[in-house]
Amino acid sequence: MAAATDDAGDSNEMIRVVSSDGEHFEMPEAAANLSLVLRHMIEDDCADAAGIPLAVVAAKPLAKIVDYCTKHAAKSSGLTIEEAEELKRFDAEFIEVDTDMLYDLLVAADFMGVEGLSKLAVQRTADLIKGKTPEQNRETFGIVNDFTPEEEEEICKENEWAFQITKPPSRLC
Amino acid sequence: MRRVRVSSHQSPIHKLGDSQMKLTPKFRLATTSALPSSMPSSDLEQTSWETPLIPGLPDDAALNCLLRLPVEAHEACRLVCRRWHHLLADKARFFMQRKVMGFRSPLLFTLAFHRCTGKIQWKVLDLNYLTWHTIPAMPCRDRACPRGFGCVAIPSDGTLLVCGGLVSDMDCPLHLVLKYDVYKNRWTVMTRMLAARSFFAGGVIDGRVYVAGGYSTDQFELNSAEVLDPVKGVWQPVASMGMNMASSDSAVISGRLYVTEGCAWPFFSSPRGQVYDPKIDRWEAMPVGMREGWTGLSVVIDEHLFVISEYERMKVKVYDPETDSWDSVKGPPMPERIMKPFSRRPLPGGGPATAAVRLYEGRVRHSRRRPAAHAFEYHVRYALVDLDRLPLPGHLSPDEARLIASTSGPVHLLTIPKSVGYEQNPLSIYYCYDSAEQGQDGNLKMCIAEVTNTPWGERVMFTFQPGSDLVAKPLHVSPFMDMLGNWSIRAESPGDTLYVVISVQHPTLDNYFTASFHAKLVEKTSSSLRLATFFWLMPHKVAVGIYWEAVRLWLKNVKFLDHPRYLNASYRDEAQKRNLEIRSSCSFLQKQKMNDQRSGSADETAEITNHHDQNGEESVPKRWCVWRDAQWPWS
Repeated sequence: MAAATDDAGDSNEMIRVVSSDGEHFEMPEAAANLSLVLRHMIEDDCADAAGIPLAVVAAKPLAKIVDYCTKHAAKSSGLTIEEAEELKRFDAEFIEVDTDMLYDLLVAADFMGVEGLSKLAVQRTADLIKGKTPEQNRETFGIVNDFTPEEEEEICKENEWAFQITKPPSRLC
Repeated sequence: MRRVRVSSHQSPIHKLGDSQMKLTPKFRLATTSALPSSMPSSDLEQTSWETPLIPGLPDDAALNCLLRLPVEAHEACRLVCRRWHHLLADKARFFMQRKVMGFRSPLLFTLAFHRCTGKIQWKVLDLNYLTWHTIPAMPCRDRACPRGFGCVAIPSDGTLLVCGGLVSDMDCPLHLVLKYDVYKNRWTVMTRMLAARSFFAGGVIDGRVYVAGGYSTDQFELNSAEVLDPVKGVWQPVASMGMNMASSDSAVISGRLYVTEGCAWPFFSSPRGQVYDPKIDRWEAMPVGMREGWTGLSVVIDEHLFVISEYERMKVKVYDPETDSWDSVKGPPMPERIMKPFSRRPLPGGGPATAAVRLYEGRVRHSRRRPAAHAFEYHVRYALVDLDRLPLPGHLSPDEARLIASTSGPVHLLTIPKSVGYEQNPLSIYYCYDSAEQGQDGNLKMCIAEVTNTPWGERVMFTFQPGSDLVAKPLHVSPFMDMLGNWSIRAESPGDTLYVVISVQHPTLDNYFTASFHAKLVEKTSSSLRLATFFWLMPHKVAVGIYWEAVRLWLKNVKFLDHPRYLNASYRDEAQKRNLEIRSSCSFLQKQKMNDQRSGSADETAEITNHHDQNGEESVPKRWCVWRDAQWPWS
């Protein structure tokens, strides 16, 4: 405990976290600091050898989150353009997961207060919804169609009035 | 769209600003109230939903996702289920939720107009998704001059106010105030301004809308200013500006409204400017460095005034209030293709490069500042003809033009072909190129202006340097003004766009008249039939497509321009402020007089050659040419 206090300012300190299903993970303090919750725990000297218990985060998403934070912490400041792009690529690959994992990440990132990841997951979800037909969306997200056929027809006729998108006028040129 | 027929200068003023001008049902579009009665009513609280927004996700997380859906995705997504429909079908609710969640919805509103018909349409650029959208048509007359409006965005309310304006060809200013509500996606008519005005200043300070100056009903510049409380919807007068002034641009910096009259080449008179402080309800003079350097459209970022300098090749500069001077912003200037008037490139790839004729469409704007301030604009079409491929009777032959200009390359004539039924062709320009650049536009050597004064049938020709040139006008044959005026002409090699600006300064009246022609290339052709058709059907019939010119850009959110690329220091340094001294060698030729005075064309040619080879003031007959050094006000 005393050792942990002494080294509180040392960014090389490894922080241990424990998933809801009892698995232990380690990450550098700089990485843990990306999580608002972990940062507060560290500041409050709650980070000890036993690890910080994360009661609602399972091992699978936690492993990913540790990956995410470690990667982002290593490249947190003074990014070159190449590094920023590499980080972007990393994010894009990182978030290529199935919806179950996506939900887990979304909820866990929200719980742990990892802002970057939270945004990434939310945007990914929105992007998944965006290009789909209603039926595809119901299928992907397990949503039950609670419209009657008549209602559905009515909505189709309804004028979607706001902000009609403008097609580029290239055909006019 | 309601049309108001206008028969005099008096009546339209009352009609146009009139609150009687109703919106047609077209503008009151149905919202969710059109839902069948069996649908969940819109006032149902979210807590009453039994189904989750997205199964497997807490509702707040799911809401966070759905609120990020771009509006173009809503049409399909509202069909997924009732809850999604509830959220997405009503934009007021959708945007309100976004606001509650702290999302920003930066939108760039652009006033666009159809170049032929003048029809106005607002385009909206969603800066989150970089997508363009169209909002319902503004309930406004067809012939309103797009540039005359005062447009003010109130981002915190999600509204855009379009005030005043001008009926294009009538010089008739409007009282009208229209409000667009982004959440309702609807236009409404607001209380009209106390004074009808066009080309005026406007800005939002502490949620209140201030307007000042502009052209009034009697075509004189106004000195009055007024303020709108958007909540109460009432206009009230504020302190007078202290000078009568129309405004080309204005900006709000640190709670004060800066109004500039606007710089117009060639800067003979220093543009005026005033600053309003609403806290003390008082105007004061704008610092001299600020008003003289405000040479283009401005935008305020972080209380700094940036100007895209129209007269310095779209260079971006920023005002330094401490030293009352302007600093160049590092990096390249605005790309030429987005020069004001901002526009879309009409012909990507273009037609055959060797086409004999290029057709341009654009607008001529005349503005006279004194004794009566007066401005109007109209739509014209011009042809740019390669004279070697299509000689035009009644104009110089390409060889004659080359002799005059001392060039050996192509000669392109910008003119309105005579066959069109146009009664006058006030200005034609010969663009004379160097031979090394066949077919290229890059090496324009000399221009010859051919000015015809229709009532007297007189024609004046004179050479001028491309780029800009100032020519004294000692000729008694003047189509525009009395003989005391000086002409300054600005023209560059026509490309996808074309512009000619002629300003006339009167030495005693200390004022000037400006005629400008801005046009876009719309077609290349070698067919004389096409040429005839293009001009024959000039008013409205030829389908040439729609090209939008954005005349005013209004940011709903300054975040957009915070973009670091814009101000990035990694670009190489710009050169020091160029010496903009104008080369002013000029010469006049008066073709008709020559024809009268000289018996044969050989003599005329000899005269031309002689005059130009020596290219000195001594060799030029005095009654036709005067030397004059142009003064650049900043040098």
